[in-house]
Amino acid sequence: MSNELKNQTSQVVSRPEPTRGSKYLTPKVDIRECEQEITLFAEMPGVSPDNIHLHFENGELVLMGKASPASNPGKLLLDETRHGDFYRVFSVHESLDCSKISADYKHGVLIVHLPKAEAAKPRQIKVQIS
Amino acid sequence: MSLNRLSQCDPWANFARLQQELNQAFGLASLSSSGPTLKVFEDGSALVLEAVVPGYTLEEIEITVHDANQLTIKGEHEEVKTEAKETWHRKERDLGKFSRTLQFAFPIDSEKVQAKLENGILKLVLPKHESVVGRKIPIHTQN
Repeated sequence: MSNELKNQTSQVVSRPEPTRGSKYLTPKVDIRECEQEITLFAEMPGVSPDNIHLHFENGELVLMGKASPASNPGKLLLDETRHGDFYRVFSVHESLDCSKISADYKHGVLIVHLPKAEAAKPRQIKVQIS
Repeated sequence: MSLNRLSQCDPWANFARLQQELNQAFGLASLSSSGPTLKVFEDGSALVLEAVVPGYTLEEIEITVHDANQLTIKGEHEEVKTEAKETWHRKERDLGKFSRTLQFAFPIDSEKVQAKLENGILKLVLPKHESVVGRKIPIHTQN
């Protein structure tokens, strides 16, 4: 797995910088693998669906979520939250069918489906008995 | 030094107590430290609370007002297993069960609490009870 989908977040230098002066937040991610696909669940709470950007180029899957302006309906009593845009990059191995990547956004979670290429799917091989 | 005494010296316990005292000074106390991160505003006659709960549906969240000034938000998420042969390579998210209770310095009008869940943020509007806000009494003239 580590060869197929390797997190590249440590390469901070290659990240484009935000213009608003705020730091990027790294979304928490779960990654599940089954026979057909690898599914990635990235938490991006507070981001409206129009502001989610998913980009795939040169074997890199870029997840971005532009935060809505922070609400401020009165006197602040308590704030434990962190506000900012989300950003995270993963490198995708060629054994995935990159042309069929799809995604949906539900309850603040971006779900990315990365289907496996036919060659990478497990196959039952019949053993001929001679 | 006994274990009991050691625990008394715990700087984090002191920090938590200080946080609680500060919150109480502003009319708010957190009675539990686990659960979703929160943002709370006071907007005149109501409190506005935002809880960060990505992945939870409305059916998985329970909101209760008790003893007039305590609010509990509970959540329970059950992961749907799609296939027998699945492997989790990363599990960074804190999905599962949580319960968080807040205590306010004034009573809440539980009948008028509004809740909305949007893009993983639970937003609650908690109107202060009439006994705190005061009720405007109309004056009738007899001319």
